[in-house]
Amino acid sequence: MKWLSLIFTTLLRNRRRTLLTMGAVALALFIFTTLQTILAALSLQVASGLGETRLGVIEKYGGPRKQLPESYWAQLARFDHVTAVTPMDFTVVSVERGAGVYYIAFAIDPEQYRIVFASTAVQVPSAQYDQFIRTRNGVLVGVEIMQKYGWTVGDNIRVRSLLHHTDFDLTICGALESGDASNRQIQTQMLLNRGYYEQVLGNPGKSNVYWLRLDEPASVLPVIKAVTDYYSSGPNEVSVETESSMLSRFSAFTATIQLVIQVISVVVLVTILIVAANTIALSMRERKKEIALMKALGYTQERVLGLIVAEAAVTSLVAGLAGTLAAYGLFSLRSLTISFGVALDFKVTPELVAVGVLVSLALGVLSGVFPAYRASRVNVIKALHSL
Amino acid sequence: MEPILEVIHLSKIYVQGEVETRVLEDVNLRVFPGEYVALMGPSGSGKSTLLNVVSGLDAPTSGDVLVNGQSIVGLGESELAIWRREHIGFIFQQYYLMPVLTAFENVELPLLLFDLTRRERKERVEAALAIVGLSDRMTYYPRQLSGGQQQRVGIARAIVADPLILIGDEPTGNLDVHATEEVLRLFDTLNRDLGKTIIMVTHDPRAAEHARTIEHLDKGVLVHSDNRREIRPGDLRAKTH
Repeated sequence: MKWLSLIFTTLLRNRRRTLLTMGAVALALFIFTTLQTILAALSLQVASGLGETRLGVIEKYGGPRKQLPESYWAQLARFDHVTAVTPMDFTVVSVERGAGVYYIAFAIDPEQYRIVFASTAVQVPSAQYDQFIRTRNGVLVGVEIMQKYGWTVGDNIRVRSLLHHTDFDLTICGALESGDASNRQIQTQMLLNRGYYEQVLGNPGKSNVYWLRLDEPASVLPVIKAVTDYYSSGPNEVSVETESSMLSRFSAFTATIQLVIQVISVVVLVTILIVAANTIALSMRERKKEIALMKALGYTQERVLGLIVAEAAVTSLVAGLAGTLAAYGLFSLRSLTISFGVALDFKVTPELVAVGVLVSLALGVLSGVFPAYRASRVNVIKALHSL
Repeated sequence: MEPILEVIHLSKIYVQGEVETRVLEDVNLRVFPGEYVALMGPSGSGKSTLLNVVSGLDAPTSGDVLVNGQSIVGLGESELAIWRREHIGFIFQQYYLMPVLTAFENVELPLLLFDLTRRERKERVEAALAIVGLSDRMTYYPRQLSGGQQQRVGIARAIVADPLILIGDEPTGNLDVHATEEVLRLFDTLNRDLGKTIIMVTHDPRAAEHARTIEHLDKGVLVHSDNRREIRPGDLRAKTH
């Protein structure tokens, strides 16, 4: 406590400079947290659990954006070790009262989906899911969307597909809730009955993806080989991938953006590191005599170094916390959900706040350690002159 | 009675390139507890260097420095810092008070290094400021104090940890006549009433008059020792070999 008091007092010696430094660090952390939030939204989370007994089948060259014929559904179901197959189309929808806010919606076969995505389906009460199977225009809605619009099971809603410019009149049969943090995105998604989806779109008879459920993990490689070989000579060659690889493919189009974001994040941090280190070095030059005095009074080199690094760390920590919380405030003020082909939900999670705080701390320590080391080695006699 | 400080055959040579400068040459000095020694000499005579070496801020080229019978030559930088906080109280010509700290906080600065409670620190700081007559200026910042008052804060900072030796480097060099007298009277009080051992570098003969012993340095050699006062029973005096 005695040291903290000394640190705060010395920090306030040049309030303008301290505030400007803190402002720069706060801004850097605001940018960093914002970028990381965007990055997190771009990175689709990979569901854990039964993932590796699921395989996704997509068009080999166009990926999930290029659809496969509906005939593949029945063909795929006949392969050995395949216990269930569901087609899955995806679209981006907006709701009537939520202009500018977009959600991703999947059109699936409810009965097959229940088997293929057992871990997801069980998040919905059995009675609700049964109702979903029975209701042609039924929809399961992510619990966060339900809460946002105050919807309840049984409500009739209208959503509009951005990709097809078509309205869907749906009846809510249940709420999708994730019991697992890694699968949280499901709470901002919708599941539609594929039969109704096809009907509204005029029965195009195609699907973006076919999901296969296998009998056991050991079947993954044989099934991938068998399916790939089977379609290798047809008009629509396929790529068969595990769920984790498939989800990566979904986010592949954002890879460049992610890279740019990471590079900008690093550049912002390195720049502020240099600026902060330079400011501290400047301050140290001005305080040379005071540091020499402290050493004359019996402060060891290690103690001086520790105090200066602590000063830098406290400055950076307070500023970084402010910047991170500002980003948190910005994204909490209004739920920002933006579509880049898929719906992106921007949220500063507690984990990101923690990362921001740790980065601030590291920034402070790193920016302070070199000037502090130099300052702590000041020659007392030369610095004080008079002795 | 053992000397509190013993300088034995001390030499200091500065080497710059191929040029050697002998700053101190075979200096021998003994200072006993409760002594008040003034070091005088022309500029460049080595008195500041001698002060640096006996306070552990500089290392001798040869010779030894014993404080309370223990050699400080060969101690590492951190060991010397720890040694200084317990044995040496510095009083500087330019005060060197931290401008962002109050008088109280400036005096408290050395005490932060000791394992003392907040209450203990407060008591000791208040006592030190009372000795220098600044009990009513504890919350003042250096810029709010006169030169003499700032130097008295510096003296309070030097004595607050109760060091063995007070080292003054031209402590009155920046003060007017009135403030000089105040500070010198304070030194007298510290030496006479509180038994503090004082070693002071000064150019001012009037300041040196307050010391019991005046040591003259010239070209790095201790040339003359002037024991100015009758030593009372129990008093101890400085000697040169």
